[in-house]
Amino acid sequence: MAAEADSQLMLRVKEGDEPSFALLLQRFRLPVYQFLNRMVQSPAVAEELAQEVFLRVYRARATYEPNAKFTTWLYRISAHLALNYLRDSRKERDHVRLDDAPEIGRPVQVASSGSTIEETLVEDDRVQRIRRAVGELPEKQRVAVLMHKYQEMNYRQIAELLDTSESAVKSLLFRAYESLRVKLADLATGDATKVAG
Amino acid sequence: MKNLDPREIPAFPDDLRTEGVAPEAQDAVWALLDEWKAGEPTEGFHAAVLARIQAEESEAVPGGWIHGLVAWFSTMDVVRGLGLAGALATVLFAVALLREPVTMPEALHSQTASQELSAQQVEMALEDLRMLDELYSAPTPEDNQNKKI
Repeated sequence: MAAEADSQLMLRVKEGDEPSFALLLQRFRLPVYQFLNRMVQSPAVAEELAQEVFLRVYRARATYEPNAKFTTWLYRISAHLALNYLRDSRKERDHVRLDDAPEIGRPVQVASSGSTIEETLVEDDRVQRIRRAVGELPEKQRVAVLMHKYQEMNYRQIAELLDTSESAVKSLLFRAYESLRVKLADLATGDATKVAG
Repeated sequence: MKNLDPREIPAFPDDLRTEGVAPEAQDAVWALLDEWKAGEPTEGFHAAVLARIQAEESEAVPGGWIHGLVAWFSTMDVVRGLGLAGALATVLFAVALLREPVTMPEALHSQTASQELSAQQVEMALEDLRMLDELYSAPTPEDNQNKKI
């Protein structure tokens, strides 16, 4: 029902109804921002990319057709922008050749973002480990995990988003969660011990 | 399509479990991922998006460049408009002239003609020389008389 409402809102945007766009913006700004922040791991960049997502949605209003679920379309734009950003920043990083070894595994480092540094200082070491572990996953696995775990998408939605089959998504998720289990085993064991104690 | 409610998936999905791995270990990692909060966009996010849209729309000239040109013309007075139209006509005339097919310069024509002429002259001169040569080499009536004597 909610999905229908999203598509209906978008169709009204197509007809020039600006309040409907404001409503979509209000409804999806948080999940889109959170997905992007987990993808690029920089609040400043995530905010910029999230703005770009909604700008692209607005630009595409004239050609919008409710063929797929609105959220799938929205997250496809988001994932596309995030992956492009990560690829570009990786190329840039290869040129710059940063020496900071612990940062190499992380997909994005924005030196100009003060909020990132502040957040990093106060951030729990555990969360940093989780961020790094997810950040080290191959691109498709990372998108699949973020969509599955945090955006609560099912296999079919993720498959549509990644232009792949449901079985391929299941395989991606299987490998990704197994990789995370191995990397975060000590943290998870600590939790289990705490719970047992 | 099944809508996943976080309250309905408290544990790691069964169909993603690895054989031989303790379910508790996978559940623990699944729960660990919940510790990663992604924050919220800034207060000005909504306004920033709308400002970017407005900026983009104001940059676009309605109706394209021709519409803009017509609008610009319509704001001018008649005399200035006529003057500008004359200037525009001159420019168009100049462009039309430049677009005429390129012809071979006359000097080049005459040069080629002179080259052809001199070749003809050389040929004629050579013919004359051949004739003279034949004349000198041919026996004269005097020669014939001397031979008889």
